[in-house]
Amino acid sequence: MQTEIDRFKEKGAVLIGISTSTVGEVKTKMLPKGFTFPLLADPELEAIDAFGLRHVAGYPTGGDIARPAVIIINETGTIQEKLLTNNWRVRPTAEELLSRL
Amino acid sequence: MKFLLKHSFWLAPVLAFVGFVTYFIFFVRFPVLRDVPWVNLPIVIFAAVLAVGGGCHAWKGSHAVKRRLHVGGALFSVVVAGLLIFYVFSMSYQMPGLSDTTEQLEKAPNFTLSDANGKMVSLSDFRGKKVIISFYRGFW
Repeated sequence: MQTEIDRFKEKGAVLIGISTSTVGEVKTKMLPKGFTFPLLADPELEAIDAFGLRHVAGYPTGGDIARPAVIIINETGTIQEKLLTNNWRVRPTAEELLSRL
Repeated sequence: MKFLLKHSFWLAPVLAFVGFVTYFIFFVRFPVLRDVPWVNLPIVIFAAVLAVGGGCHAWKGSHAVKRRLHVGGALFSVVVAGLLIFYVFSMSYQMPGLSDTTEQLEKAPNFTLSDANGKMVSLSDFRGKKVIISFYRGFW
């Protein structure tokens, strides 16, 4: 998604990433990879639970994390599309997302 | 072919190991090779077949040390290949069912969270724009 960020901007879409990582973890693990869109820290799973995306004991060491999902929200705050997966290896590609905007 | 069989006791484990590790550190970055590991699965399967072939070949010989080496190499290669196959076809499907509360949501619930620099970001900040939220697992 990062590599296609300009094409998302062209379509007027904002990208956000959310995970259970703390602010410090996002800073040390994710920022060095060059992400320029906001990566939000949700260690208490507030937003993750609000969207119903908790994956109990999904982390390799046993903690709860978010199931991989992409939610597209339209201009009025309504959910336009929810892209869930039943296989955590498989995620929608940037191309698929762009075609749905 | 003879060369391959003779050296399979170290070649196959190395190949299996490389096939296994490179999936996670390199090939997952490419969606086509990640969804179905077109590169890594053939490598580990070839390694396992080679190891078993070499093991059978050495078994027929009378050299005891070679036998042990080949059996060890074959076991290692088959286990590593099995691990990748298990990960790809079973483990990564270990997820909660798809029918969750998101299904009933129509309005996106607002949230306010901190970004990596400590700046608070709310979903409502982006009203009037399309927002794509990617929930990820703490590593990409």
